[in-house]
Amino acid sequence: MHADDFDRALQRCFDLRTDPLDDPELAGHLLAHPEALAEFAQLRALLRAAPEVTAPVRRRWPLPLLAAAALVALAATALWPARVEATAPASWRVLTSSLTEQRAPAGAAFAWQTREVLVQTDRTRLEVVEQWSRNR
Amino acid sequence: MPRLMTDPATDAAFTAFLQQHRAHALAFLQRLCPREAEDLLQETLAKVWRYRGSWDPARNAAAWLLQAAFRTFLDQQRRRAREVVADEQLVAEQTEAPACAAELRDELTRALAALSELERALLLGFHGQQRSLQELARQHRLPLNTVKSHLHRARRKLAAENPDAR
Repeated sequence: MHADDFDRALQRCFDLRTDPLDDPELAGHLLAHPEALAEFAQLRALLRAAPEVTAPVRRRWPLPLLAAAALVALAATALWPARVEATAPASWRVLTSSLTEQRAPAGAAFAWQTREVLVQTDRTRLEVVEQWSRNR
Repeated sequence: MPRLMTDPATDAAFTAFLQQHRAHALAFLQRLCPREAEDLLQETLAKVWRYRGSWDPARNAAAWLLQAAFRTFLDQQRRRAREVVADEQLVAEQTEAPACAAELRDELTRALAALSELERALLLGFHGQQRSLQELARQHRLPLNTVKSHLHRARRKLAAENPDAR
């Protein structure tokens, strides 16, 4: 028996769910070609183990369930109370600045206060105030 | 004809050969007949020892040992077919999991990863879930011959996943 004939006969046996070793011709071919034995035994054993192996199941979500989940997610996003994060602008810009000389505290020769307004809206004013003095 | 007298040097070389290929022969028998592999190996080794005069290390000696193991297995199958197996033994054989079942499952899982999705689905559908070729053809909307071709290719790929060849 030629190798191609052996392969065809082997596949036919598996298609018919019969044991190839019950076929004297196939068993005879294997005896005459011991170099094919390991591969044959491997295939036969793996196919016999197939019922014990579950296929890696790819979960398919039903379309209505997917649509419902998307709607719920959309509604939750729309109704969720907006939380505004205080974020600093990419670059601060000094709107106004002032320098005021103050009465020097005891022990100090002189004192200044600088004031820089960075943000100015109707409700918000953000400024940086620095006060410094020099000792006598 | 069995050679009854051999020289000590040949016996020593033959013993070393058996020690070297014993595990390979056992793995082969475990795939054919997992529950009785050890017994079959002992029977095989006893047989080849008697016939060690026909051993030729220059030829494919490993294949020669597998051939002897396979012959032993076939002889046992023929004997088994003639015997009436007691019910209790049959039940025990059917319920007891072979020692290498987990190893085979792992091998099959690895081998399945090398198949295409369609080949894997067809192979597991046919051999795992015992579905008919016609059912699989309907399920995958393929002609019957196409299903067979994919299935045959999948089996050839599995056969190529020979752990001994790695």
